[in-house]
Amino acid sequence: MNDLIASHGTLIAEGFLGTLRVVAIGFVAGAMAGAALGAIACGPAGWARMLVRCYVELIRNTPFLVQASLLFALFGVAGVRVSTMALGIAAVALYTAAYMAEIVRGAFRALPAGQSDAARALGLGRMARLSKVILPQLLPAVIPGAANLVATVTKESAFLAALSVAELTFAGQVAISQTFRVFEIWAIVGALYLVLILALLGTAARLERGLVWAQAQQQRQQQRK
Amino acid sequence: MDLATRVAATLPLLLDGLWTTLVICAAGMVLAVAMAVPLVAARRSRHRWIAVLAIGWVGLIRGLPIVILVFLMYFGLPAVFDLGRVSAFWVGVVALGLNGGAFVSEILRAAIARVPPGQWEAAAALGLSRGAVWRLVVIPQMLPVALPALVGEATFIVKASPVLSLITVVDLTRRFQQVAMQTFDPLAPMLAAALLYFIVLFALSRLAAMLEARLAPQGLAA
Amino acid sequence: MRTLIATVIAGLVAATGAVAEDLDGIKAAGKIVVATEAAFPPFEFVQDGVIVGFGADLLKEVVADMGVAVEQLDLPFQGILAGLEAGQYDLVATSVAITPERAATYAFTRPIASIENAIVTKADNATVTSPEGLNGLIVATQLGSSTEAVAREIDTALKAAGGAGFADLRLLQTFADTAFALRSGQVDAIVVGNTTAGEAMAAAPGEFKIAATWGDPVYIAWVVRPGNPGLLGAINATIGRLADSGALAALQEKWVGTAMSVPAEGYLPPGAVQ
Repeated sequence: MNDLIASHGTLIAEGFLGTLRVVAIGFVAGAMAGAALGAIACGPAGWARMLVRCYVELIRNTPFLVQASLLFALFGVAGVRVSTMALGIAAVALYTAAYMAEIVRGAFRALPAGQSDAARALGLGRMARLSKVILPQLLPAVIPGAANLVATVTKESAFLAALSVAELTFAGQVAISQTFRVFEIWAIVGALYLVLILALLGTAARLERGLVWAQAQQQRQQQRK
Repeated sequence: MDLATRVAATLPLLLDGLWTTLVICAAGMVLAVAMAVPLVAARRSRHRWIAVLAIGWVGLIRGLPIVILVFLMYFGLPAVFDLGRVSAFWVGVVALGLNGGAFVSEILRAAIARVPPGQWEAAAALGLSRGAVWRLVVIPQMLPVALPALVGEATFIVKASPVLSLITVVDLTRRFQQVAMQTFDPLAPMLAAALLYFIVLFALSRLAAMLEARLAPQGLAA
Repeated sequence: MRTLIATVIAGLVAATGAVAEDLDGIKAAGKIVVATEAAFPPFEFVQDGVIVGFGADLLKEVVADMGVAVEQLDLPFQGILAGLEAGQYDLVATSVAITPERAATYAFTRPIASIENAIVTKADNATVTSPEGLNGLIVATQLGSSTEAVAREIDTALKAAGGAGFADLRLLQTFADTAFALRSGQVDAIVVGNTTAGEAMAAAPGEFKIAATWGDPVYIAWVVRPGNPGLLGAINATIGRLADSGALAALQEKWVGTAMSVPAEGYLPPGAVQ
């Protein structure tokens, strides 16, 4: 085990950083796009809602490996040269956007119906309604879902090894092709994923509890007033 | 040939791969439910260490990408335990089952938690046996909540199943890769496979949504 | 947990039959389990759902001589030697180049073919006429293949000669992937066997060309776990019979388009296990 870490530790560590990179950049880009898609899905434009719906259903009802393979093939057919890392990030972003849009839409629908109207009746403008009434309630509902989504995306990102993206699983494949030490390498790679994903899930759970608690506090204070 | 024709031409070549995917996923789902029941029982156990073990197991599964789980089971464990040859098909079923089982146990636990505590006490006060409480009180109330979620879990199993293409199982994903190599045209078989996956998964999602809409009022009334 | 996992796996093994012990075990079971990476035309590839090619024809002869049935698994290349070590199958019946590193761990059969290392570019590429032309370019090859080692060798040689070396070496999962990547302009050149190059050129006429070659030809053989002298001997006997009768050359002619000379001995590097 020690000799393996000495000879291939750097390779595996670089793979781990690769996974962090693919997930971090892909997730942030995808989450922002997803928030925008989610807003459209709750908005007034019927045809735009329909388009978002189609996109979300397409992504949610196909396996990630198939989506990523298709993305790679499409760039191949178009003859546009892009690094595998960039394509991996794009695949993660496209995936994240669809699931994020669903989380945002779900949170929006869970808001009590009359709130927006009530805020309007109080004379609040469009921006004020959004920033003072809608968002403060939306965020607590969105954040735990988003944190869980990061964990899911991290797990899915392992499929990118099949497309030679330089992430952790691919680093494991390269190390095995050079050392033939199968069990040890998958055990090391698995342990690294486990630590990362459990940390993400733990954060998600804490956020969920924390936000529920904060909300309860807020309500209690409001009631006291 | 235009793309639509090329896609249509590859569809028949993919059907046996689709069949393998469906069979493995169905077997994996059955195993997932079979695994989940003892897991739920373990988490409700009076012995703390049993509950902790079950929680640890669920955490392990939730924290491990299925790609790594499958590689460990197929390439790693047989070498370490000197087990000789294991069937890729059954490793696939077990991997999907282990993975699904952890999530199904969470579904069942959540469904049981929705039965108000007072009902357990009331049932006991009526002199019902433990088995009768489950059969007459708990299960009828948890099923409407659990069933849509279980169908939802089946979609996750189908979405995870391309992992088996990495260990010799000629499922839908491995099949489209083979056809791509043979025809030197990656796009058409991929689109055809994506279409087949979509049909299966969309049908399952609709079923889950339909069950939820049908069964939800009853669940809430409980 | 260890015992639990072991029990689960042991159950699976019971359902599928344990690994056979050398030739006697295989004969007793009446079946040999082999692994093939069916993504390496013309040696082994899938045609209409069936594994065909030079290796498939050879495998028919081998199992006929042994008098057993065959169960053939289709596996990605990088897992294939590891799976043999793990006892997942008895024989890797796929083209594996004999290299010193591999021969130190795995037992090679007699060579069944020889392959030249080719540098392939698009047909309209005018800049790569020799290995030196690869300086500053993106090159691809298959992960874990013997040509990966060749590609690294070229890169090292280019840098040693004062060149820039490759801009990037992309390791892809199959040789077909390297051909896709080259055709779609994702990479500038690929390092593959000349037979792979021939296949790609036949599949996509006018798209590719062999721009240069590198080093000596490498011998291709099959692989078994060390310590299976009966199985290794039986396979070598069949290869020898076909080589002597000219049938091996005829098979090479049929699938590769040209006969190759393969030695009966002296093909193993120093330190090879058997």
